[in-house]
Amino acid sequence: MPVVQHWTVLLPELALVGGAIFLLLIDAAKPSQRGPHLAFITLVAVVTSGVLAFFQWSHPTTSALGGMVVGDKFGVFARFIILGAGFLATLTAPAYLHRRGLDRAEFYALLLLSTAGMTLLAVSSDLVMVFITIELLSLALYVMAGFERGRLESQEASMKYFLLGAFASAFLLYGIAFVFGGTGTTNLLRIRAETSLGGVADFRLVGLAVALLAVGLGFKAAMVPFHMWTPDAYQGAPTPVTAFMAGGTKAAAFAALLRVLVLSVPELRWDWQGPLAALTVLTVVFASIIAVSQTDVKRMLAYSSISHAGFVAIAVVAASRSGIAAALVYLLVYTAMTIGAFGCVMLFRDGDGERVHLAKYSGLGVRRPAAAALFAFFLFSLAGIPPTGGFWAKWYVFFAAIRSHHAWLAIVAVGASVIAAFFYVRVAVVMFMQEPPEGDEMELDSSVGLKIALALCLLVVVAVGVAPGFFLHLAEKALPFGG
Amino acid sequence: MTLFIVFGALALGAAVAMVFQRNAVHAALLLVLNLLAVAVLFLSLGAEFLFASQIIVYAGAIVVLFLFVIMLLGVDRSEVVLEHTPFQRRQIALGAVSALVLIGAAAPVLGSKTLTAKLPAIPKTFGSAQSIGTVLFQTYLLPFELTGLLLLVATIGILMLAKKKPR
Repeated sequence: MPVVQHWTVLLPELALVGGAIFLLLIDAAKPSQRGPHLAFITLVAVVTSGVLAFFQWSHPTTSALGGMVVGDKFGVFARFIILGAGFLATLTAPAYLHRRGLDRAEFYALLLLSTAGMTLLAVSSDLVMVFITIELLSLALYVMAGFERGRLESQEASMKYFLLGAFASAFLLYGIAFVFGGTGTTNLLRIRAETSLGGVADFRLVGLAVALLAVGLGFKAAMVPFHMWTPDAYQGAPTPVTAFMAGGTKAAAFAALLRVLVLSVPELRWDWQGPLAALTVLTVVFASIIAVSQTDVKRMLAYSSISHAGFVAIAVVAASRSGIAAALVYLLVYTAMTIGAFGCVMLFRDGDGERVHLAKYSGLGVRRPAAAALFAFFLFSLAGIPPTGGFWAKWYVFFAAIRSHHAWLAIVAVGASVIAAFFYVRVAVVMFMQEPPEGDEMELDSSVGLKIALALCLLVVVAVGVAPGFFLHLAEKALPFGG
Repeated sequence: MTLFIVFGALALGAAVAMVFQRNAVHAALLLVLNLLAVAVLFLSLGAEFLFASQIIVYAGAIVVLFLFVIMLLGVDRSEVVLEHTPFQRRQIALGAVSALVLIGAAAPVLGSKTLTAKLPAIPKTFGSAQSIGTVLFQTYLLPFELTGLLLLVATIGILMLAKKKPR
């Protein structure tokens, strides 16, 4: 077997890594010059990566580089979501970092390297690759979460994420070892062959392995009961990092989960659908109920992101063609609306910091109607209120669940989204129905990057709301998985 | 088989003792014992290259680094007092119960004799330095290269988080 084969599959990632190394080098050469140009270089690297990935849409390749990666359309779709998250996070970052004296080249370099880890995870077709890319994206995120190291919450976020993340990695690795023990391979396609009729695999061992893999990936996707790190990490991390984590990591983790469960062990479907459905119910119900009692907006959005992981997992349980397409559309909309919501939190300044306490939002709709309306729009979309993009995303997921005979799952999830709607709408009520406190001018962050990012998020959520069929069609075209 | 039972028990015992050890230096030394026992298990499987690298890299370099850090921080002087709150006690009980459930679920599977009956026989050269080299630099070349990238991220991360004064 030739070692180097179709290496062009990796071009998008090479652009990201090249950008990261370039950033580090120019920072070493001229350490005194820091500013928006660092963010600009990052954006160029992300856009280049996106363009290179786009070419793979029309020229998808099968398995490449010894079966380690695959350049299929599914990978391109997932990469686009991840690169979008990286792009938006980079746009929001400069002003935020500058205010806190954190604008350093290393931040953008780590952001690019983490993005590269996520996009590689989305195209991995070998469990060894899955493990290493998860480590790559996580290690960079641990550091970025603790980037504001003068602040205790930031340190706490980094430490908790790191310790629990290392623990979850052990589960993942243990699962990979069992897969190898049971099938003699770590390649996803060969695992599929060995677990099919006439294969050598023992289902009991592979079943155990899949459970362990699901724990490891469920941690990254922040599903209950592997979510314990999420509220603290999302609350403490610098907000651009939180937005990036919430959007990018989830898309990458679910791309990997879909590949592992639906591509490599479809024969064990009857074994993993039940437990995964149980986790899904736990996730949507638990996260929605806990979120109601939150008074910190960043923390509330963290629980919201946990519950959204549950909704995507419903589509994974469906394990059908329409289920995977629904998951892709959901991840696309979710990334745009959650980064939009976190972007709005960055927009509402409170002195040098941001408004995170819910009480501080009272009367915002009176003083700053446009910004408050934008925030309310993202919240309504997260709640799934029609005609926003969030509604259609949920609609497709429920539809896929019903079509694959998991109607009860859809019914439970609808119930949970009614609970969830309460806390989303409550923020809007506080903003628009309460009197603004005296002497609070409620200044907005005026950085251009943040405004562009919010406009782009709005564009995506509105576009999916107006033409949902187009995006679903696009996601369906991305299937099936390439070999 | 005897070799496996003796050194498997040693590895397991050292690991458990390490977790319950209150003195950090002693815990690190028990970790060495655990790693050495695992190294012997590698040897018994015919993986002499892994045996050597396990001793040199883990038992040698990494634990020595651990010991340096522990002694530099002076953890051996002030022993951490472990007092469990009721909440923690409940957590420990919950952890013990779930561990037992997991072991109960996994033991029948892992103890089954027919588990790997259908797998092809392991080639004679499995685990030798040559076969590891072939696997590492041919099949798994890309993951190997990515590990380098991972180390770059770790280096940047350490500098960012631990450097005394930001420039």
